[in-house]
Parts: sequence; structure tokens; C-alpha cells
Amino acid sequence: MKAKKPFITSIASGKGGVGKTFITANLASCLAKDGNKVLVVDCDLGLANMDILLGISPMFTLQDLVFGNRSVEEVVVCTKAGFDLVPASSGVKEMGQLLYEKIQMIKSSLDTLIPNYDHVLLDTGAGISEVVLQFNLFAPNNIIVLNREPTSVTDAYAVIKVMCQRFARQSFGIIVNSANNEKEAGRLFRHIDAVSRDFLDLPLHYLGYVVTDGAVPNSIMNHRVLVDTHPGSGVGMNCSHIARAIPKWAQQATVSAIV
Amino acid sequence: MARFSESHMPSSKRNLNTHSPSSHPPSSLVQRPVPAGERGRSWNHILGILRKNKAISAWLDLGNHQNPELFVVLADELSGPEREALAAVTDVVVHTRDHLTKKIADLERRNQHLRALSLTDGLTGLYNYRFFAKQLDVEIARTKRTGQPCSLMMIDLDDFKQLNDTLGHNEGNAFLVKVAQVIREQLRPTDILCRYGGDEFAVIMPATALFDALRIGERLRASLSRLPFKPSTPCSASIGLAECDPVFAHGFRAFVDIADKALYRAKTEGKNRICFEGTLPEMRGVPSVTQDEKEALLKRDD
Repeated sequence: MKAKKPFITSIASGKGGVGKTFITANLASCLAKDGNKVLVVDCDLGLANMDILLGISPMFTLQDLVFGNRSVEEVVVCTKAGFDLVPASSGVKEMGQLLYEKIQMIKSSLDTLIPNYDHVLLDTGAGISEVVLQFNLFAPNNIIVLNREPTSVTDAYAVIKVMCQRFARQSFGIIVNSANNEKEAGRLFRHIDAVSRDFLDLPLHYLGYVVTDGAVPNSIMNHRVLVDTHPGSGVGMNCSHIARAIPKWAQQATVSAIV
Repeated sequence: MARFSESHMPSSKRNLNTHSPSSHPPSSLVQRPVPAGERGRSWNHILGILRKNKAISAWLDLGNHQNPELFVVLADELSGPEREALAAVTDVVVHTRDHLTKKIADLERRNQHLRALSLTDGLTGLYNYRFFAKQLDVEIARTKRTGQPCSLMMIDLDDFKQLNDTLGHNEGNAFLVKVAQVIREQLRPTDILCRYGGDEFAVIMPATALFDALRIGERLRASLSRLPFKPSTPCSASIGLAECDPVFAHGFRAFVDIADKALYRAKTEGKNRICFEGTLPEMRGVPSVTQDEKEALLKRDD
């Protein structure tokens, strides 16, 4: 029996299409490679696509947990990438606007599953809808993914502001995706960090960046996790770097949350 | 003090409708039956006393159906016999040096008690349907005027009839009182809890958006499920929720119908749950990104 409590981390973005799901899958795979038991929960209800990214067609999804009478153990699947996944269904309108009670139900089902893992990553949807925020609240550690597009920066800031001002969240990790290089990524981080310090009195935490790589679209097309197929690539190195930064940051964040 | 039968009371309700005795005397005063011993005394004599003393006579509306009004005379310098003469034909004669405020407060208290009797439910002490219907109309009107949301929650106990049938109505009633108490504890001071009828309760939630109503509803459902129903079975309730749309608000009946529809769904989907009509709103009242922040974010630093 492990005495350690699992790290529960949400991975969100302000705007859709910044590579949140791609990063989640690759980070999960890296964490698994490092010897952790990892669970990914596809919380992007209504527009779920983790299953597509991984090329699996799950028998049951979160929808069966919520509306059918499936248990969470029936819904969870093992993936080739080395982590377990609780998949969601796409295109189900009611899932996008789940009742508060149902969200609570998902949370309490996950509670029974979580003790079996070292890391739990929640791939939440983009934006600041109540469902997304509720899942972000479920995770003590919140990661926000952004890229160089101005709208992705302002939307990421909106998520941080809401989580901070409405729910008093204080610890946000930032991942810059699709950066040209390390310098550009650092500049992007420093920029949003400065605005956050100025207006919210809240410093952000830089977890790392992932470079633009022509191999990324290919890996997605082939339904493979890039860090599995190209562990030595730039993207692979970046991801494993971030994967190692997460536990350190999370521990630090937990300590500061207790204080 | 004289008491008068209802048939002699004026039909129109006047609230502290004062008459100066120098003008026309109140016609109803003239119609009052005079107690046998006072027959000989002329009404002109009474009116004379009122005029001489610059007395004020008033009808106090009590809102009570048996004795809707009291005839009160307020006079300062009455001689003993004058006071007696007035006392014979009025309900209350007060001196300004008497504790007038106390007397009015007493009347007001009685008034309130009677009003409360007509607006609350005898068993649970909650507001009754009559008050609910009136108040919901007020809240809908407020929502239309201010644009602030208003939510309505219908609560129905699951399988309450069974309890009533097996344990009897006394036990059933005692249980309803307990349920009312539990619900009350979970609500905020501004929420208006009413007994809608039987084992059904309604909560008017002014200035409350659907999502906040859901939070409270969930809290309420959870606390009700901790209340023992029968020795081995916990109590459960189905809840229907609706939010008043300021644009399409059609009065209380339509609003209740929507919440009832949600309640019906909660029942058919397996009870002990909350259903709602309408969509989960995007964040409300959440700080959006200000222009200053936006400019700072979009500024190109190098």
C-alpha cells in the first residue's frame, strides 16, 4: 500500500485547439515511463477526443457512468501508451451542460479510483463554463496550456482570473505549446506572468514549453502518442522535462496551499 | 364595551378612517344599536360630547372576518358621565394620556396574528399556497423589472404515501414537520419556503440564478437523505427547478408548470434527484477580463 497521496492535476486552456489533449496524453505517457501509475480522465465532456487521439474506441464512457448504471471500474480502460483512461463521449449535448449533481457524482466515482494511482491528469475542456471550472476545482493543481496566439493568451488569463477571484485558487502552472524556441516560450510566459502579478497579485509557475514539430500532426493522424514513437525528438524531450517538473511544482503548491 | 353583530358593521374596509365630529358624523355610528339601558340617551348627546371635546373617532381595520373593525374614540377632557356614555357605544375609548401606543400595538399584534393565520400552514408553520401564489407573482414582477434572476424549487418527498399508509397520519404529519425544519435549515434567509400541499414544498429563491439554486438544491437533497424515514429506510426527495426568464415571464402558473415538469422528470428518472428546466448558464457574475488587462496582455514587449 502506498502512503503517498496521488497528484491530481487538471490541464485546461482558455481557448480550444492549443494542444491541450495532445500535451495531456504525452505527459501521461512520460509520467508512466518514469514508473508512475497514471490515470487520465477525459473531462472535455461533449467534445471529448482523447480516445480518438489514442486510436481506441471504448465500450463505455463517462456518459454511461452518468446516465447508464456503469461503474467507474467498467469505464476505465488501459491504453497502449502506458496509462489508464476514463474516456468521455463526444457530441452528446447533455454532457456539455451537466447538472451540478452529476458532476458531483463523477467526482465521487473518481474518488474511489484515484487511490490506485500516483498521478491523475484531468483533461478539462476549454473556456470557463461551469462544468470546466468544477473539474478544475477538483484538482488541487491547475495547469493552463497556451500558445503564441493572442486569443489563447487572453483566454488563458481569463481562466486564471476566474479561478483566482471566484475560487481563490493560487497555484497555476503554465505550459507554452507550439513555441518556435525556448526564448519565445519564456517571453510568452513572462508576459502573462507580469500581467497576473500586476492585476491579480498572483505569480504564475512556468512548467516548460513544447516546440513546434512537423511530426506532431503526423503522430495525431496515426493515433500514436509522440513520446512513444519519437522519445528523442524535441517534443519528446520537452514533454519529459515538463513531466518531471510537475511533481516538484505540485508538492510545492500543496505545501503553500496548506500554509 | 359594546359589541355589534356583523350585519351592522360597515361593508367597506376603512383603515384608520378618521372623522372629525364637526363635519358629518359617520353614518355607521348612527346605525349602531344602543344597549337597552342606554336607549333613552339621544345620539345627539353622544355627538355633542364628541364635538365638545374635539374628539377623534376612528375605525381600526383588524383584517379579521368575524369582527373586521373596531370603533375607537380618542378624547382628552371627558367628564366621568361623558366617558361612560361614549364607552357604551364604542369599542374603545382612549385618553391621550392613556398608553395609546400600547393599545394600538396590542391591536396591531392581534391584527398580525390574524393575518398570519390566513397565510401560514397550520401543521408546519410554513407559508401556505395562498401566500406562495401571491409572493411568486411579486417575484416574477420583480424579475421582469430588475432583470435579476429568480428561481423556483419544487420539492416532493418520495414514497410519502407509503409512510402515511403504514404508520398512520399522525406519524406522517410529525414527519412533515421535521422535513420542513430540515429544509428551512438549508435555505438562506431570503428564500421563501412554502408548503405547496400534502408532502410537496415550494421554495421561491429571489435573486438566485439556476446554478446557485442547484447548489442549494443538492445540499438540501443530501440533508434530507440523512433524515430517517422509516427505521431502516432513509428519506428521499425529488426536486424540480426552474429559473424565471425576465423576457418570457408569463405569471406564476406558467412558472410553476415549468418547475413541476422538472419535478416530474426527477420522479420518472428514479427519484431522489434534482432535475431542472433550462440550460446551465455560463458563468454569471464572474469577473471578465477588463480592457486594461487585455491591453497589457496584448502589448508587444519586444
